[in-house]
Amino acid sequence: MNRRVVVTGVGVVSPLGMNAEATWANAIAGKSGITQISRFDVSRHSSRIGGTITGLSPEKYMPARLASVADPFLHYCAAAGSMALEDAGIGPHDKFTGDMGVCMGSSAGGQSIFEEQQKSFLLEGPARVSALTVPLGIVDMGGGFISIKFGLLGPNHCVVSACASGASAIGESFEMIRAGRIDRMLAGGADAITPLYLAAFGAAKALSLRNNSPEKASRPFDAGRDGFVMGEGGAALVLEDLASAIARNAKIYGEIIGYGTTADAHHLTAPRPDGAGAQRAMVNALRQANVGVDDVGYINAHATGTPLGDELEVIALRKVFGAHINEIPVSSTKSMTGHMLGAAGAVEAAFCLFAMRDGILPPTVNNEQLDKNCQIDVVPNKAREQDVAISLSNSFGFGGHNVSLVFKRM
Amino acid sequence: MHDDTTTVHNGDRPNANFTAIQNICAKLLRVEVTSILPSTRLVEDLDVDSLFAAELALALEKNFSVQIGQSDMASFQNVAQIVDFIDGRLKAKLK
Repeated sequence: MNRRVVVTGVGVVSPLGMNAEATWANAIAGKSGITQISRFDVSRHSSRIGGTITGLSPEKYMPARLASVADPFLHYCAAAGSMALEDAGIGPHDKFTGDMGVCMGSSAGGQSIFEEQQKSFLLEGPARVSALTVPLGIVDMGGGFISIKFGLLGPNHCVVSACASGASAIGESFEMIRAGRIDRMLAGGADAITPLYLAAFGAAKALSLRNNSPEKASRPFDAGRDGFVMGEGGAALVLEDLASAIARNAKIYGEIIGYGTTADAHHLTAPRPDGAGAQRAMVNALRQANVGVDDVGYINAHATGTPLGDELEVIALRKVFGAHINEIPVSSTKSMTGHMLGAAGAVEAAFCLFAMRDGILPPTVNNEQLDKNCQIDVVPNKAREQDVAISLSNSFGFGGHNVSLVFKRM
Repeated sequence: MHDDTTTVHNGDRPNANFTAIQNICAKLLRVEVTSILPSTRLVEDLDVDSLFAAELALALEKNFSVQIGQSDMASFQNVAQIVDFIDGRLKAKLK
């Protein structure tokens, strides 16, 4: 028998706040987390703006010695993961950690470590490369670190599906608990903006060049959008078998009831022109959730603000929801956070849960003129009070990854 | 604590290499400079694991332009032994 899976803890560090509730408060206030990037020299980058993390004290979440040498990616994993576990009432090495695993996704992991060490390698030779390069750089260390810190003895996984990584991690963890393989999982994702990563997305012409008005640059579904804005941060959820959550009297944010994951099998970066991959991900998630298209009360779109991607998501939404899409609010919170890459799916899952809890939908900001090909209700510019029982979140990634998650209010 | 029976103090004049090593250790290991004495033990007092031992060796190599082999690093039990080693290498270079 398949078990029911609920969310009992949430941890977020984002451009909108250093914890989940601060992030949510700023999201429903319609604030932008996008600024000029100041952590490194961006003077020669084409896109010089981002949703960056400022004001995080990583030594609160990891030993100071490790924090001082670790990549921001690892800081975000440690912070989000630790806060989610604390929120769930699960402490390091307590009686609940033995039957708990972790799956943190990321697109690039500790990329900046490799960038720095590559300089040492080229300038000074192989003997000058740090022994910490591999442990701090590898993409799975986010989950690995949390597992070590908290004594999580179950599956210790990492999912890499580009910008869908956080959603994939939640989906795969959901399936593991559902199948009875483990009682609880910490699941989410993290990524950091690095000098090379920013340059590379810039080279791919994927980024907004609205450098002079950062807070206006991330504008999904708007006719004036010109690419996405890189974001960074981490988000993690504690997923738990319903019976286990009830047995330990845990606070429950909501239930995960559907997970769809498909491939476009089309192009390295471009989504399928017919939106079929995204369509099948949503259909599969809704089918598993056993809900109809008219049951969905809110959709958190992937919509990053690229000219092509947003349009194709709308095409896919129309194919799945038919005429109902005109009645369903669909917002892109990336308009405020920027595209948090591997963390995006996880922070947007948190937004879905909070929206259902509080009866308020986060907006799509910077909506001045809705694109003629994106004529749906994008909850423009201002949050909206609305009772929602079921929500859906989309996450897509380079390589043709399509992930949809369906959540239900408890 | 062990006795500070080392070459670190040359009369009343503190060894400059010790001061540099003290600062390197403090910065890398995130401890107070004043907590690092010649007698301070790497594993027991500073909790230096294999990764940070390698990182410490790298920082020392860069600072002093000397080579520190894996077995050399593994043989150091306290800060004084590092100072002696560095002093020895630097003197050898002068000859």
